Amino acid sequence: MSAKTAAVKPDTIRPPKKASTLHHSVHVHYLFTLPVLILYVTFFVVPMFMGIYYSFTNWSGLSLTYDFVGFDNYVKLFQDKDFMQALTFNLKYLVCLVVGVLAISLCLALLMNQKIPFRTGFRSIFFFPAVLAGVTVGLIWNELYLKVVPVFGQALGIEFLSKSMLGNPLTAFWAVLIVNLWQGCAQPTVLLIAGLQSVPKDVYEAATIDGANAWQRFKSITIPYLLPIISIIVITTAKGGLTIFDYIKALTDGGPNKATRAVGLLIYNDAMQGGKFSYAVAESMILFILVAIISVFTIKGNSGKEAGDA
Amino acid sequence: MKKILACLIAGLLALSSLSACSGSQSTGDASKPDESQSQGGEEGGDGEVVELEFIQQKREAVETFDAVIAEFGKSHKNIKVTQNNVADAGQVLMSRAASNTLPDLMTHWPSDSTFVTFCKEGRIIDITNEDFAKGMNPAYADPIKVDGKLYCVPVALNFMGVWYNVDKFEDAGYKVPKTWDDMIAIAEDIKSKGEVAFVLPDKDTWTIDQCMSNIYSKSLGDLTVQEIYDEVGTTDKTFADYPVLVDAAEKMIQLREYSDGDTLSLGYDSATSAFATGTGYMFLQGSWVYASLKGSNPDGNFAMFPVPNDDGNPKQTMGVDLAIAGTTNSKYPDQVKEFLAYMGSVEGAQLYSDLDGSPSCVDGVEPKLDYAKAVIDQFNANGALSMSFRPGTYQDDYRAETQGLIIDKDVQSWLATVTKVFKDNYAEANG
Repeated sequence: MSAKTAAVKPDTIRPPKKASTLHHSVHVHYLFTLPVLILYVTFFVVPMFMGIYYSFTNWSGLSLTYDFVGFDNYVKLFQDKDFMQALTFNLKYLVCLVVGVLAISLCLALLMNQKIPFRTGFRSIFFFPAVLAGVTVGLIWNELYLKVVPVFGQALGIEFLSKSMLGNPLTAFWAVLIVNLWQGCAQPTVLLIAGLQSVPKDVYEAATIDGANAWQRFKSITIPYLLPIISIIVITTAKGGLTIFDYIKALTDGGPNKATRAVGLLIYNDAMQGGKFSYAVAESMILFILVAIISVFTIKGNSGKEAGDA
Repeated sequence: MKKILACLIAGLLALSSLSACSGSQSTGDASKPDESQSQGGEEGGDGEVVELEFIQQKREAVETFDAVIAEFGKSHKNIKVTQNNVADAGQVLMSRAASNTLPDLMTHWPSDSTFVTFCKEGRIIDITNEDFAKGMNPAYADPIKVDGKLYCVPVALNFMGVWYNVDKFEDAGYKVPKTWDDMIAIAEDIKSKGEVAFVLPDKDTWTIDQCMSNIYSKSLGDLTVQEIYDEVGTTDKTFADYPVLVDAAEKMIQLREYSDGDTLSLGYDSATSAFATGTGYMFLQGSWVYASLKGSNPDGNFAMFPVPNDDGNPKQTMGVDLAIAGTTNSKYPDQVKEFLAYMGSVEGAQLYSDLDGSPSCVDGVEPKLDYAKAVIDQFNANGALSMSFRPGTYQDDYRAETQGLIIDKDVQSWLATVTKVFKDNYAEANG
């Protein structure tokens, strides 16, 4: 979808406007969205509003009764050292993840868009991690960090690699990030390749004739055409970074000594082990607001900027 | 509204657990509904078969319970107990409680804070005044009461100690150590040979917790952990005021000197299979790991001795391992109680003990525990049942902080932090 957006130049192609037939087809279009809409409302929108409601109560998850406590949970949240520590972790993680994913997948996409041998094969290989479930990836990397990486670390005499990176509070963050990048770059790379292929060749030719060098062509043609895709990648990756759970659960379970305790894990622990459902819901509401803010800014930052505008 | 949300959460959780892992479900085969319907129940029922859902949390005990349920079915043809063992059963029970659809029966750990909350919230059937409960050994039944009421039938006991590789000990000519210093001397010798004395899985924080209590419980004397908790919770005392805890923390750090040096990378499963297949000489763990050790290496020769203390006469504690409880969500409380009564009877408990290889809470049951003779002897000489309740989210924080102790090796700062976390949780839990 994103590839298409980049390919279609808004000024050249406009949809036909024939009122009556259009009116009819719009109804049909709405009908097609109905199943997804119902599922979305049932499983996301309704629970979200219920979540907002519960975040103002003191429901433990087990009790049959509960009281309305106003903003108590939120006030407690912002005084909670653990929550703040987890939030800091998430924000740091988010920045590293977004920068990492964009840099790596852009490089990979540019490389694989060149006329290199086995191009299709490479594309499949680089896409492969995306088909695995997060927990599976986490468990596999767990063993790699324990048994394989230290062998290389010892052979190369690199101290921090000589032991499992997951066992050290200083390196555990990066260890989780590496796993996430390994898997998280696959999909963006494919999207970016599609985006690159949709950039019209004649624009490049015209620029070359005008004397633009490779960097100028990249900066003024490639990037603007890729912007809608980049914004989608930023939003989805940022969301992934803020709601990170499965990798951490499988790799470190928040350890060592809380070094990788993300908000997602805290929510899970508070609700499932601590019996503080309403508090956990309040935590997830903060996360929701953060994701919403980032999405709005990213979309706003890119809106109106279509290919060629920048 | 709460119900709808809860149903949704439960549904989503159930769906996700379906996609992530396959649960195992099994039924005692002696109580097929059609058979019993034709024969009529022996309990004087009208032939209608009642099905009880039983969420059984301990994955090592699935086959044991299959056999016990089958035996139960022979004498109770109108009750069909369906054992359901799912991954992450604790979380499943939590979401079932949230959606008010708890199963008829469940296994739980009586001192687990979730279970205590279940009891306090009236989700568990009170069996204090049932006939079968009155016959229970008060040594086990009394400590697990919640607010003076009994909510579960304790089935098995567990204990911790030091597993050792008997063959490696014999090859090296080591004798089972009597005091802490003896054990460290052996460890020192092993270290000087460039080998690993202790296998310590510090990546999983619960094993750190167990290791710690494995050490301090031996020197508690007349004190109990619950008494320490209550004192620290209600007075100005801190954990630093208990020399036994300070000493245990130092011993925890000392033990790590005789490990492979990278204990924080090692999880429980990896450690178990490593020890089972010949890595290290000693493994501080509980009786529950026996089945896994044997599973990883059926020819391995493993036995257990009590964690020694300084004076050579450690107090060997046991804890209630697994207990069975019925829930107030059940439509068939009478049938639930029949099953509970069976599990508390000598007949049912002996069967469980034989198959599970664990000591029983029921008088008259003779456990077969050759591998842990030294521990049982010590328990008979100087033993106690240990039961303590941790308030709120203290357990989680305590475990993370104790992992921090192993990393930072700062005993004083650890004592201060866990004291603060404990006091906060204690105050919150007790109003």
